[in-house]
Amino acid sequence: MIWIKKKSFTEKVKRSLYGYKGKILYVDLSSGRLKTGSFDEDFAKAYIGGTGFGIKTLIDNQAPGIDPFDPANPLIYAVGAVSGTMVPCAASKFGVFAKSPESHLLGESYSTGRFGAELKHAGYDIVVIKGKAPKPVYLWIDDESVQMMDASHLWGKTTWETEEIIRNDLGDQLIRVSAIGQGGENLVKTACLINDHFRAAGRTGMGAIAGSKNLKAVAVRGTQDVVVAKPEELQDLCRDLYEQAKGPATSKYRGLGTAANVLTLNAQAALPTRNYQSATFEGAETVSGEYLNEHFVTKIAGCTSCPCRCEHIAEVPEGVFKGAIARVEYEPTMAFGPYCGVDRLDAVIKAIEYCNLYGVDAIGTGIIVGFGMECYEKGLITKEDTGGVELEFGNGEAMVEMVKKIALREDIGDLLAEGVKVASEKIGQGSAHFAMHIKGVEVTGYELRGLKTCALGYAVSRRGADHQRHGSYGWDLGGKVDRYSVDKERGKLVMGDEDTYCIFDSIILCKFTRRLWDFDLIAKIYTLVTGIPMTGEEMRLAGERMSNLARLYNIREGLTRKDDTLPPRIMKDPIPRGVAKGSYVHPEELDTLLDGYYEARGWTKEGVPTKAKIEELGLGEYAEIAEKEEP
Amino acid sequence: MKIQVQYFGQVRALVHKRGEEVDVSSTATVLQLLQHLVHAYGVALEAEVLEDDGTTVRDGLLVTVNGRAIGQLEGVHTGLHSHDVLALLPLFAGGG
Repeated sequence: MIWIKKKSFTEKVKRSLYGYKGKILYVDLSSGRLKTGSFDEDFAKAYIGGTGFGIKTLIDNQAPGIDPFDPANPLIYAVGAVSGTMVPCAASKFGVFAKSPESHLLGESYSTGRFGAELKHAGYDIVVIKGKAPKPVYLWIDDESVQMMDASHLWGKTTWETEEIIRNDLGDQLIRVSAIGQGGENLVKTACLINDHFRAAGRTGMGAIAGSKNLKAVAVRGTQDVVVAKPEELQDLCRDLYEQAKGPATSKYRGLGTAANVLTLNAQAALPTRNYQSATFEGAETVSGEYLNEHFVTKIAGCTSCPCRCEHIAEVPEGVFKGAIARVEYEPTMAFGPYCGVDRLDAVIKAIEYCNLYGVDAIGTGIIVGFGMECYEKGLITKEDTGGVELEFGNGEAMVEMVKKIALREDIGDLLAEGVKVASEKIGQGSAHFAMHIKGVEVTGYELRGLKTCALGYAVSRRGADHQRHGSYGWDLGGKVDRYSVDKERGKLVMGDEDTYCIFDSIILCKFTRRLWDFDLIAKIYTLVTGIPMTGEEMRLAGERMSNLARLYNIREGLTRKDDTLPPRIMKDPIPRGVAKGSYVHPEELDTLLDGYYEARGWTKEGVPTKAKIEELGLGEYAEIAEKEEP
Repeated sequence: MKIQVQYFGQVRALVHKRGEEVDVSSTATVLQLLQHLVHAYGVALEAEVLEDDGTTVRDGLLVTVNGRAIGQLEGVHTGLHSHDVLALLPLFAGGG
């Protein structure tokens, strides 16, 4: 029997906005109530979409200080400003936001594929899901019809099974599904949402938030047009952009794929290896992008409206993991390859496949397994704890098994499912020294000890350890700055990167096409789509506004300067070998970097936005948050 | 003098080798070595290595000498020394 709360919306949104649908869907899973809201041009211009919509909606809809698993913590989907249009490499993206169960700060994650465009075509820019359903449900958005469907038969299913069953139940194979697997159901802190089989809103535990609400999935089918302001001019511009996006600017993503970074970073001693015990990996060749393409890649695919086609789908042709299939990028390859000391791509592919099926973030989960391996080798956990798994670095089978145990919370997997921060607090015995997280969120694939601009970007990242909020490794690896030294000027570089990435994640543009865009071009295409006048400088300012609003949100939830830090190993243990041998980030260097960053931002020495900055950015309604922090 | 050249990523795919020893004059610079390689392997390599001006390293390609990015040395005018190791590395950025 299907439990249905159905409401058809007849409310007409006035056609004042182009590009946007102008509609917000509010869902209360506790009561089953649904309602819609709208937003105006001022909101749209100030917050653009994606990131901006997500942060703004979260700070306005979440009571300060609540536990992430409190039903009142809203789970927010927000599509990009140009989602659902013909704009290349931007039509399909969406973000998911909530208070993170890992950091207890801002949670945000982005995915692509086809779900985002479908949601826009169904008529919504933002979906806000609050409450907790009395039993498992999935949300079924069928244009203007929104229903909460019984998901009892889906509980315990993988993300792929869930997608298939929902499509079959509803009789439409074009339905797009964003689902949790067992990881989300089990409140694994790295749980994510998977759509289109291989695409994840992966980081900061958004799948766990869905699981805490008994929400198995959001299924969507949209048939409405997205009406743009200047269709002919947009078409002309997009035609040029398509040609550029098929050209040299993106050829490396289409050809080798990001996994080619393995050898580059290995050569630069910037490849996190064996839980950050080393920055080089002797087995890098056999987990490289070059090796992957030669032996495992069977298909290259792309997202909606994307001419780049970067998805490298890899399959294991033989051996114990025969038949495993996954989309393979650099980050999960790093996490399940060098980081776990594993030099076998078959095991890497299987581990990623498990992450997709069980719905856990492949980056964070790989880092957790690496942490578990170091604990095991140091004797802090035993074979009895692991349920018989010999969790040694380099043991591919053990790694794969541990991914499953984490997702299903079996044996030591139950503790590791809490993430390395909590696990190290429970294990003790000095393990916090090598618990590689920032703000509770596991590190990603750039060895920070010898990339000091990047280290600043990670330390201040609003969602915890992360390369995707700033991309500041480019300065260090590209030789544009001395990667081994620090100065206060790095703060300006990171600030510029962050504000730029805010806009990328608001439009939402795929960062693989970053070389095609600048603020002026983004503003131009935004205006052609929405009809809202926008300059490049106004766009940059919107990015700065988002960065500051995110900071205010995090301050409201308890963030202080001491949280803008790095794991102890990064600040104490020098890189042991390779071209970066001897490098680490001394605490005094981090202080210099933070001081420079806060100054560049116009924040106090404690990292709080000043009243002047808040007013300058039109964030006066949030000034009280900063005032509470004043000495 | 002999320079050890290492190839990675799309450049490796073009030249079909992981590396080789290249003989250049004792006063050779990074740019002269790159031009030497372009001459040896043709326009396909040139498109991956140098911008249209023929003197600037293409964005997204990292050139290092003995592990140091040439941006932290003297750029393409960095002088080479016997038995230096020059690497051509693709530099990818996270995305999605």
